[in-house]
Amino acid sequence: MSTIHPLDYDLEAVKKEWIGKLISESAGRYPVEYDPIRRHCHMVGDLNPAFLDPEAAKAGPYGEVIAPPSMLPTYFASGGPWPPMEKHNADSDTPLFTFGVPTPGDRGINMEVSWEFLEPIRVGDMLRLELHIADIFKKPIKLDPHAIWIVVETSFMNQHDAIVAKWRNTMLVHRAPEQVARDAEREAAHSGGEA
Amino acid sequence: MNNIDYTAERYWEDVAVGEELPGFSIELDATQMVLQVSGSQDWNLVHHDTEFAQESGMTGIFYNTGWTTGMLGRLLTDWAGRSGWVEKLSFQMRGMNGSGAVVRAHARVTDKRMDDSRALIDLDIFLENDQVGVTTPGKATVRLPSRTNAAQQS
Repeated sequence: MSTIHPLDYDLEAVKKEWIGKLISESAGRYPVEYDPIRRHCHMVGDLNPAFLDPEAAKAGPYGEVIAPPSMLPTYFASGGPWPPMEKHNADSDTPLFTFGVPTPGDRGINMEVSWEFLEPIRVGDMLRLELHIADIFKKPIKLDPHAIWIVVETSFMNQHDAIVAKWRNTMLVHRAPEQVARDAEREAAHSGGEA
Repeated sequence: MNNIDYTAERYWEDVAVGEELPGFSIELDATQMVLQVSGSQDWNLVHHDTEFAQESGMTGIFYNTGWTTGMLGRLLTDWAGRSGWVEKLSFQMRGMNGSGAVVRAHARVTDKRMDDSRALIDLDIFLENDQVGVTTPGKATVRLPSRTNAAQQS
């Protein structure tokens, strides 16, 4: 995976190229299915029959099983994590979590998440998403003084073109300590040359 | 198993500001780590490979966003009743939930209001663990059925 030295990283150029850019208009490879919902519920011990039991859900307000709001609709609205689809960045040398935005580092931590849930997502729905880059900025963290923060906004639509959810996400991308140490040698030489 | 009656309604009129949600706890043992990856299909190594996470500067693996969202979602839907609907959910990941921790999901009602006849409850929501305290503070808005609205419509 390629990385960029902070001295070679032009944040203003990156912002100009990427902010507002439509990154993805992906559609789900599969419809919304029972078993991924079951695995999501198992992950957090959720026993709600509205998400798990087709018979019980028939008597509920939606008349059928729905996905829990907390199940990231990205799961059903994109190519999915495996096997990779060629059009979904399979050959990119940037990590998937940067959405293609170049960054000095290649390690990611998700920092802030905001969801609006507008319509129920039902088993059998076909979802698609539109993802835009909303902001890119530099904010140092203890691990990395050149950490880059990427904010994305995504709308999720069903097969009726109804917006079912909106998502705003802030991802921090930092360098591993080994890269920070390696880059520091050049930064020291650079600042020494300037002195 | 738990004692939740998922067929029961929770009405807006029955909720009080300051009310604490029952919440729940989960111990992050080896099985839970595998369930996290299975349930989220998030294969980023920082969430299941201790050596990689430490080489990235972390103290160890930490649980991912899909798991975090699922915990907070369950916290709300366990409480919201048959017809309750989570309208908004937001949170900040300020600390790590890592292996060996016991994580508790809990919440407090901060406001109740009518907005265009939508009966809404606002909550402060939290994940906290026994190693570092609150890791994930957030906010949520849940829409509940209202007896008043139902009476006006009948």
